[in-house]
Amino acid sequence: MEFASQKILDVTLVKIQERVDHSTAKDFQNALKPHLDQCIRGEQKKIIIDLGGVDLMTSAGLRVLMIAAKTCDKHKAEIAVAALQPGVQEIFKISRFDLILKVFPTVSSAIEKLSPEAIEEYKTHH
Amino acid sequence: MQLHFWGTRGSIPVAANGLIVREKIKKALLLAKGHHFKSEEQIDRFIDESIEFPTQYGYGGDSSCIQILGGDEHMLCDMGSGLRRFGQHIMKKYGPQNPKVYHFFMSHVHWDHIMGFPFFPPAYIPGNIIHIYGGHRIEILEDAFRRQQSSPCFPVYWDQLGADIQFTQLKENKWHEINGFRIKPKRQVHHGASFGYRIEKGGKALVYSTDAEHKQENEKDTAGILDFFHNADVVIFDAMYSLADMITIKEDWGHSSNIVGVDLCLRAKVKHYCMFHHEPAYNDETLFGILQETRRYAEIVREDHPLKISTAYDNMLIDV
Repeated sequence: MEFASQKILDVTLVKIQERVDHSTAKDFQNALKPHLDQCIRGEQKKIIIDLGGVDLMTSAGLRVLMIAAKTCDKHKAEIAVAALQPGVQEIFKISRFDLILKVFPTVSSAIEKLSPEAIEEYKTHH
Repeated sequence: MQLHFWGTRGSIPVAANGLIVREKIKKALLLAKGHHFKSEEQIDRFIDESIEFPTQYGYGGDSSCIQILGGDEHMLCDMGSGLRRFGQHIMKKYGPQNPKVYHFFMSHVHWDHIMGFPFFPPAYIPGNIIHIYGGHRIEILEDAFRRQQSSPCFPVYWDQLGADIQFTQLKENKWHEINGFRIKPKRQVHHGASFGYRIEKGGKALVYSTDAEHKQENEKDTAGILDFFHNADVVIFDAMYSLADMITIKEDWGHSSNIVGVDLCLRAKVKHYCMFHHEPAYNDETLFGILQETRRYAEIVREDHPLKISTAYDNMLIDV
């Protein structure tokens, strides 16, 4: 599984590639950990996870997302997911995750909502 | 081996009230508009072929009770309110003067799993032998039944029952030979613990795993579940909640979700995943919708393993 992260002003954008299932859920959790640790220390308030490269997410992956969301919530940070592929979008609906997580159709719409200041910066580089 | 589901609902029995019945009649009449039926057979065929399951039948509302047929003596898992109807069936079939032996495997003794016993006529009739097995200590099992049939909960006390009732604690993770079946209990995550049962006979395997919260927190625990489910012909699984509910507001309530069941059954190469212990707040349409969604989820995530998925309903029969 591939991960990449970048900072756009006050937003951390985490990009995930490939499927997230029981065999990769731990990697997914490890990839999010440093960003969640920053939230716990109060150094990070806004995380967006770009799922555009994820073609499938099972319950094991959704569980990792929920733990991340709970951690952010506890430490007054915001987390959102963006750019879901159709299959993953369907899984979010079936699992009712669409009702409890902030889900955006694109990364830019997520940034715009979480940090209007960061969107200009993001557009400049994309 | 054959299964007869006498009760499939979780937590508390539910009943269809007048408004629900009226809505079903209205839907059926609307679907029948313009049709002319010349015989009762034609009406039955129309119901079977043209009216969807939630309207023509529904899932029922009795709490957990499953009969496993295929042994010389009667064998069941749990004693929810569905046991009352099983008792009526037995009385009708054999009458009161025909003593029988009954084997009950208890997942645990929460109320919805024992509430049928005071309404089970064979318990009152001398000559019947009732074995109650569980993974919990005998004192825990027996105490729950005695308290249920004591003042002020119920007018007929435990010691007034006529049948010979024997409690047995089964060792977990060990095979036991009972009534011609091989049975292995496994401890599960639930308030006060529950036990699932793997039941085998004639090369066929059934797993009864209700009231279990499969958190998938670590691969070691999950591997134990996968081993328990491995290659089973049928897994009856606690699919009470959506995943979102299971890991947020209902975390640690001791139940699992429909899609966790799919993931575990796919990994364990189960043939038939049967959703069970339905949320009492869900109506027939909701449960039917969840079944379609669960099948769709399996289509998305499965690689090559075909998995049959059904939702248990009261009176359902399954050949294992």
